[in-house]
Amino acid sequence: MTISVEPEVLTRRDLEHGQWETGSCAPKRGLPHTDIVNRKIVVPTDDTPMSRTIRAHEMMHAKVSPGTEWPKWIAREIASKEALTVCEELRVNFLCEKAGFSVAKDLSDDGETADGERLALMGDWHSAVMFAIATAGTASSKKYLTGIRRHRRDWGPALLSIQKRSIKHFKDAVKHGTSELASTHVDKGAQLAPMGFRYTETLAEWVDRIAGMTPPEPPEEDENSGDTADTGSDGTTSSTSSTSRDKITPEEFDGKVKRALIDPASTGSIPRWGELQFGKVPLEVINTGAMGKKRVATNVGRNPRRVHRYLTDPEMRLFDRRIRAKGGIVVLDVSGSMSFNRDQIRTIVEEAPGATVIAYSWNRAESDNCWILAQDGKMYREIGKVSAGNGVDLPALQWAIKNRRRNEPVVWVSDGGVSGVGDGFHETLFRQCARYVQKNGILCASNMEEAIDLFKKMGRGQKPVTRLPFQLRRFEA
Amino acid sequence: MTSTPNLPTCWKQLQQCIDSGVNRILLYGPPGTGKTYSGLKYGNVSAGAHRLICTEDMTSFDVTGGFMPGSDGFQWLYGAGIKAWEGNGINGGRLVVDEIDKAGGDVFATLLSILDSEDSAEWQHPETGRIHRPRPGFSAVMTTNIEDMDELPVALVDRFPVQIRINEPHPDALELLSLDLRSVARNLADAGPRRVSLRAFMTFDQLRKSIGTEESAQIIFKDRAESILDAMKVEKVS
Repeated sequence: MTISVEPEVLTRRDLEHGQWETGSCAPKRGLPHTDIVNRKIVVPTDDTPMSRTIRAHEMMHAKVSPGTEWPKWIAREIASKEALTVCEELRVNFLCEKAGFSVAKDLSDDGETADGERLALMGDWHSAVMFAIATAGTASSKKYLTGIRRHRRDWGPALLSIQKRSIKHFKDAVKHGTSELASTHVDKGAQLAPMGFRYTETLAEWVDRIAGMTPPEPPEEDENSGDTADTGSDGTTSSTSSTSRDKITPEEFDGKVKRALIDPASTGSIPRWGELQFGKVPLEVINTGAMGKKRVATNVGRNPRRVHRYLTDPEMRLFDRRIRAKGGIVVLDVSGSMSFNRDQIRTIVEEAPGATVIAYSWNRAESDNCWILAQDGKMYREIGKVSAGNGVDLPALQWAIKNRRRNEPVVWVSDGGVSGVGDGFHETLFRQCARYVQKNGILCASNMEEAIDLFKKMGRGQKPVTRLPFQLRRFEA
Repeated sequence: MTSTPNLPTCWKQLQQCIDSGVNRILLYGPPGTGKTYSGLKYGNVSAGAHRLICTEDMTSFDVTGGFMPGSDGFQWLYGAGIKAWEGNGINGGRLVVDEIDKAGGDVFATLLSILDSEDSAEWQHPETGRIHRPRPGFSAVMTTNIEDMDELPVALVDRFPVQIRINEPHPDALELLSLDLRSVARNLADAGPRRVSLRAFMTFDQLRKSIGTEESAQIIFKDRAESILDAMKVEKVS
């Protein structure tokens, strides 16, 4: 007997109702799929409990998963696409179980033990975490963890703990019913649909961090065994680069995992960043000079730092020479929390000669929120009224990184009190900014004095090392 | 009829057209969505609404009328078209022509003259010679299940500049169903090859109260019972 699906039954708030194209496939991982945008669903059509659960799983995707706005959720860069995908699998499975389908008993294709063994043997902690999330709460989970434990006994409890905490994340979300977790309305914070996906996004951000951690290692039994090869429980040898100093015990790891999870109920949805809108400020005042120094190749000197040029450079420029560098981009947070007056802004701009200086502050969607105050040796004479909000912290930093020439320094003058549009504060936004600053080596100054000090050091050719703005320091990696 | 602002688009458009005095409307779309019902009841039908169900065997007798044997010999009986023209004797009534795509050639020809504009439309009684014309307020609603208007004669379609696709049942009709079935019935009313009529859901709703959901689904939806019930479970999560 052939059983199909009835996706036309499903109602969504974010997409128009219409007819679906259905297809048939084998009940194997990777074959069933749902294309919400083009209304196409492919499912196994045989009359077995597993196929029935797979059909329910795909139908749940059709009901609650993002459709046309999926690329926009990814573009927010709160979490990686991979983490969003596996967490969405978990949300869908969780909702299926809530709807009365036996995901915990029937959703498995028996290949999970081999998958677990493979990942454990490869020592691929990142993929192991992702797979653990995708299978959490299903019949696949136990088989997968069995495969993992065969080669990485210490990973088993850690992955199980991660799975339990992930499921609890959704359990907390449905304390008052499944309607919000399955909602396809527009989320107020993200301004994207479906609303229920914000729970996926919050979890995915956590999963990305967990997958990036050093995996737990068993406690040292022999003090002399601190070399780089560990012998597994079944006698196989697995290579690991971690030294005893970097090792983290399963207990420590569990504590880290617990502390890292954000409670979705207490934090609400993650606000979106505003779109950067540049306002025009005439640059009429000459402000020439140079903020930093850079090394260029030369054919005279004492220390041949560029020996490779001996073969490639006809002029044999093997040495270094330092010259004044005009470049650099200063990103100035002029929101209310910085309490800058006009004179202070002017001082900062004057102290960064030769640099491009942008100032940003959010007011409302239609108005300008970013201004170029200095560029190409010229600076502004007068600046209009600026707003009190933040709103575009990350987009402003992204603009600076995108527009800098080669390795020009980017300096961010901010207290780190970042927020999304409408002053939407959220821990995830703080974390996102902190991660971006550290990843791109952005120099930070929390106030005018620190900024001027930083510019002076750069002017002397020093390579300053700065910490994150004080409000972001607790998210320092 | 409901006049809430939350009416589905198709029903809202129909209401707006009728409220604006448009007197030739063609309703098309899947069966069981209430096209005929709305034709008979929507707007001002105080002068009477007359229904004509077209079939291939139908003749113009049903449209204009014909002689029928009676106790005093043959008597003329008016068809639905002329009755709608005459209405209540003061104002014209409404003619609702169902399944227009199934009408034969001669019926089409007669309907063309009945549905012509007020200035051109007239019909002469073959016995008395009296000229009949549509009285003021005469309106016509045609319904069909075909989706492509090119399948209808151009001259007929031309008389109906307003063509509305009714793709979901009227909210008033849905309210007759239990709450959990309303969205499902609405969505499946326009599901192409997987369409399930509102009538089927009404029967299912009635039946499940006495013999239970699973058994009723087996009787009404047959081999689709499991997939429809599973889809309803998924639909219920939000």
